[in-house]
Amino acid sequence: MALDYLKLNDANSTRIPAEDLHKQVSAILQGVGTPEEHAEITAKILVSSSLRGVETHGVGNVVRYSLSIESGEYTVPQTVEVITETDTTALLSCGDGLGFIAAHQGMEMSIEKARKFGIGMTTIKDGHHIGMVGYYPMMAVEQDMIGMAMTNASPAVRPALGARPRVGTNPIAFGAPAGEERDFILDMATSTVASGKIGLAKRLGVQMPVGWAVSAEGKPITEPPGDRGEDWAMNPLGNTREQGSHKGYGLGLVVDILCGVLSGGGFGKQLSGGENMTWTMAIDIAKFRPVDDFKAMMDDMIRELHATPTLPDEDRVLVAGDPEDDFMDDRSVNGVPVENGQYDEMRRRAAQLGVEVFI
Amino acid sequence: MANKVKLDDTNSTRVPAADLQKQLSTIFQGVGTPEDHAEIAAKVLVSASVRGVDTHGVANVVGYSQNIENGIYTIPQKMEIVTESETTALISGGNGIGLVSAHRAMEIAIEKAKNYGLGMVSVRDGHHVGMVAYYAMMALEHDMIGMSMTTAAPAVRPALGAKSMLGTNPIGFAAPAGEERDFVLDMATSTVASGKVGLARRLGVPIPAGWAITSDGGEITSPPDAEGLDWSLNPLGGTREQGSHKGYGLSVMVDILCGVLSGGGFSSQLARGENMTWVMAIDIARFRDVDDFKAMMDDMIRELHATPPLPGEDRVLVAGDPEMDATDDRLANGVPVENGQYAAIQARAKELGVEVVI
Repeated sequence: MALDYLKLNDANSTRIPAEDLHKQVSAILQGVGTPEEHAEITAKILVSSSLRGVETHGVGNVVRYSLSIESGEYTVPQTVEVITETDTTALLSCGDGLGFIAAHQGMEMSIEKARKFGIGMTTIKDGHHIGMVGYYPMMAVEQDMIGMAMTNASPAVRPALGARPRVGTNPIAFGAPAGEERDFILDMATSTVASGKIGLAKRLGVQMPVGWAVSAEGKPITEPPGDRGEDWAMNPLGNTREQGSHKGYGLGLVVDILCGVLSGGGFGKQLSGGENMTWTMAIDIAKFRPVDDFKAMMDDMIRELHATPTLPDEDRVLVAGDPEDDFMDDRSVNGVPVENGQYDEMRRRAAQLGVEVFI
Repeated sequence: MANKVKLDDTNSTRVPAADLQKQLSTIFQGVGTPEDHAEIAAKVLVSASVRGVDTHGVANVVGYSQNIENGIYTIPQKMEIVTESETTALISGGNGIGLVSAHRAMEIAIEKAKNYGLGMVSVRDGHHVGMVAYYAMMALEHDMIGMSMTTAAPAVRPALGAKSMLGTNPIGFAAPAGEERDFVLDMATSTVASGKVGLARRLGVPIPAGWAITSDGGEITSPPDAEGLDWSLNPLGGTREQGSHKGYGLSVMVDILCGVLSGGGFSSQLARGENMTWVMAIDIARFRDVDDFKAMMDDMIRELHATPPLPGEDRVLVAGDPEMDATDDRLANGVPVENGQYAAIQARAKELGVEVVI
């Protein structure tokens, strides 16, 4: 199964301490003119993804972001502008710059508003890629809040019953703090798989399982396709009518509505590749009940779920965030494995820009 | 196939929606429900039937009224605000009719959204809320986005797990369009709602592989007798390879917002019939001009409708389309009520000595 090929190991990657990666990513971004403060935020989010084992959204991406800045596709330095604002809400413009910066500011504003009034919600237009969407809810979790974030993208996924890509992979992230147990952190594309998995299968030359993608004639594709186009589409979560494809599709549109329509930045079909609109929300738990009681009940729930008898051949039942926290425990101690090709590329990019090579 | 079953003239009777409203309200009042609560509960159930969501429709009045009679539901219920802020409230449903406390919760959320842009209410001490999207839809007439979720006793297994630990924990979401129909999503976070398995059982038809498994992980295609310990519904996604952790994760999210945030309890702490609920309203005008929002909704919906369909499919739908098709038909021609359920509602009215209106 393709999923089992995704592991990085000593043969195909190099372990690097997270601090060195952070310095390197920040230096590369500053090397193309990103202000230090923005470079630091972006580096923090990219390194967090790599630490959590979400390589597709990790440090390797700094190369293409820096190229997007150089070519003028991203406006840097960017001005994040507050277009409309109330006690609890804000609409921001990302200023066509790094998506991370506006999404980070959006969640900071949501948290601040939630602290005062109970809930805060921001929506962001004129944006670009924000990386691992699960990062932003984690910002709220640190403040004893529930966090949510979503981001939309140009079409890659077909509607239920449809045969052409019309919706982005439109991920949803949700985080809630636990007490002694690990926090609950859900981060999921509303398609059957994230598009990064298909790209990885292609690089590794392995087949995809039936159910991930279909041709324009509706036939399952198992050979990983190349560039996006009208001749193939990813399936929405649920895959078939009988197994609930309208649900993944419906959730994809919820993301389009909150990110794209509420902000005015545009829904899937109106976006070009690399454009992404974003939505964040923070909920102050203490406005409902004592935080310690909430966390104690989270602990009870997580323990019950972990104690569920497993299907034959499965080791244990996991809770959202467990796999990422397992990676984090390993990588914060032993270093972050960076795929050899990406490692070389980052070093080359640093040398090319004349910034210090830290890795 | 269970999901192709349709009500028709041979298996159902058409009744005008207004008559159903009267009948349900009188039955609720016949067991001591105050008139205003009876009217609300009837409205929510009739709305489900009008929208073609028959599993959550008018026939449920029989079971609800029995629950009231034997004290499972406390009537008249006292709904109480436990904690409150500008944008939030935690309310107790007073162990009464779930439809009434969820309706009250959404009214509070809308009021708060009018004043502060956002409103969010979590409900504990609650019971079954019927069609969960009803509450999200209440936001639409105020030009707001509505969301609603409800948690329930276990029927669904976690991803990789072999025992039911989660409710079917549905999510409702509604956003207003302009000239097009409003977007209304209402989905269980399991592969199918449990009502579909029940329907297949009553009709004696097999269920597709992927809906449910035994506690040994074996596929079930013969609909099991009732919710038990030896089988579970699958979370949306079905298998590890097809994303079962996503349906499972969404289901836990519903448990957190409904059960943990309210303190009412998560799925495996709930007895059958107990349901905790969460609702939210978002005032669109705080972000951008409502007409502009609706015009973009229209554009999006038209683009989606214009998608070339898969071979063998007629057209691409948008969430809410099937329910609006049913509504158009049923408001004009009456609501079909399954013959057995029609008889049961009539019998219940007679038993309580209230007027038989249908």
